[in-house]
Amino acid sequence: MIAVRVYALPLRQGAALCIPISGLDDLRRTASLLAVHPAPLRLDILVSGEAASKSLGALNEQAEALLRHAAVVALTPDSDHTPLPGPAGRWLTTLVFWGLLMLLEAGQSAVFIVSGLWLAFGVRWARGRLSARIAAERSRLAGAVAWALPPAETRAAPHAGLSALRQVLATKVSVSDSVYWDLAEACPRAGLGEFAGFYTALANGERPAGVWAWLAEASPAPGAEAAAPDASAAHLASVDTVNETGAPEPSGVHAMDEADNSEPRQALFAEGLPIASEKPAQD
Amino acid sequence: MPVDAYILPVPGASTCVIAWGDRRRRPGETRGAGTSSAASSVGAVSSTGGDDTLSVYAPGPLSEGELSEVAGRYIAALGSTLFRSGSGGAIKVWWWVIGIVVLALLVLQSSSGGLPAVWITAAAAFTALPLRGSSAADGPSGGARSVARRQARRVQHLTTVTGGDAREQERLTAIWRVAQRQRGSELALLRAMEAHCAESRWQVAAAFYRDRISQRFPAAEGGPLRRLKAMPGVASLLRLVSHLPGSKTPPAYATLEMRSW
Repeated sequence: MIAVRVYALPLRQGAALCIPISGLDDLRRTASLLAVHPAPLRLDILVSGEAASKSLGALNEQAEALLRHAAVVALTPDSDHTPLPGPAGRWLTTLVFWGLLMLLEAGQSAVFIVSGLWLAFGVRWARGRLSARIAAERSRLAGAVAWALPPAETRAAPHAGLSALRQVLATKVSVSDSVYWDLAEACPRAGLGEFAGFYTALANGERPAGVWAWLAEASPAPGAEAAAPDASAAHLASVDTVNETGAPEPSGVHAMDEADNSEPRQALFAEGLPIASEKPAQD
Repeated sequence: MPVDAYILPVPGASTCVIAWGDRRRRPGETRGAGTSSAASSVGAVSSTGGDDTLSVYAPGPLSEGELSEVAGRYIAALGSTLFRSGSGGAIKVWWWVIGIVVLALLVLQSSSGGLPAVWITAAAAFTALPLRGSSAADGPSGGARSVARRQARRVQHLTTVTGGDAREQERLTAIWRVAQRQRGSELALLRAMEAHCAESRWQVAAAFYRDRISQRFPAAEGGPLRRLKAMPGVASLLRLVSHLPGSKTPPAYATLEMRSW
């Protein structure tokens, strides 16, 4: 079995299930391996030591839903923002015009005809083929993950860093939003430096970037009190995705291109997430 | 194939270095002798006499969650290598071949127009080459790729344990002692640890500290030769040369930020 992981970050009340940016990268790379050597998945929910003893209960389903959503985000073409090789944008257009002019002026010169054809059409063709190949590869990876989901096994694994964060919460006599500053500060020492931004956003009363879901116990969602959902039960309140700049996207559901309707990716969506309808309104 | 991971000290925290590209087998070492609780919880199916074991050496006890993180990063590193070796490589090769032929033809043709004509046509044809983005020269060498392929075949039987080899543990303890003794700037600390690892012929750790210094302190790594080597085109060329058979390549490794100890 191949393990993939979701972090249960301690909050003032409740927890946030979260997959950091590096987790998305790892998921994409793990999909590459699954495409070559298919294997069942095991979902490890990393929790603080204290929480590990509790029953996973509803956490299971929500962690699986979050994982499915993260897989879609991670395997969408261009999700890793790697530029295609070769010229692009205005310079590519310039080269194409250059090639066309060469063809016009070529006369009997075979060299200018060949070079003109290459610059005017060849480079764009090569870029297109490469782009199509990468999209096909991504589709294959999505198919591999779709095959492996849902995970064959889900378990809670206590994480020393998360336990340290839980202790930071426990040491506070009066717990207000300012405790998130302390948590953000404690993250690097707990080996969870990637989550410092998450807690900083909460401390600022903003919606954190990343793929995450709020798991309430008895309080409204952080930064979303105005539209808090039913707080009486554990609840998947918000799943956000990030764009290139790391800022949250306006919609909870990751936008997909038209070229992104391949069968495996649809299979990832098929059992979909109750995301958009449950997303609290933004200010 | 057994794989070792070491939690190494870095200023203010620690980093787990997973030496997955290490093809050497040390004679007489005991494998799979790690903490059984960790093995049963993190490992999946396994037990083939330690051959599918990821041994994590740490300065203290590790939680299951941390072992899971290390295993996840190792699997991701293997997947990344497999993906690189199959991502449109043939198209890029043809692109380079045709592009260079066109470049040569244009330079020859325009040579009668003098240097300015040669320069401008060469610039146009050169920028049409697939220079940007990932190239065939990126990523680990061919040797490391074949190791990754071999390991990937058995990765679903992987068991992650806390390392049980006394020699490795001793080596780790020594580097942590060096880190505790050392005073001064971050750069001085990293350099001291690189020197210690190089002296004790701990290649992967020395490579990690060397890379860390060049990432964190590019200016400190001064010298015109180093700067020249760091230039994008030159770096790609050097990486390409390093992929040739027989060339000496640094060990492939993956890293993961860990807590401070």
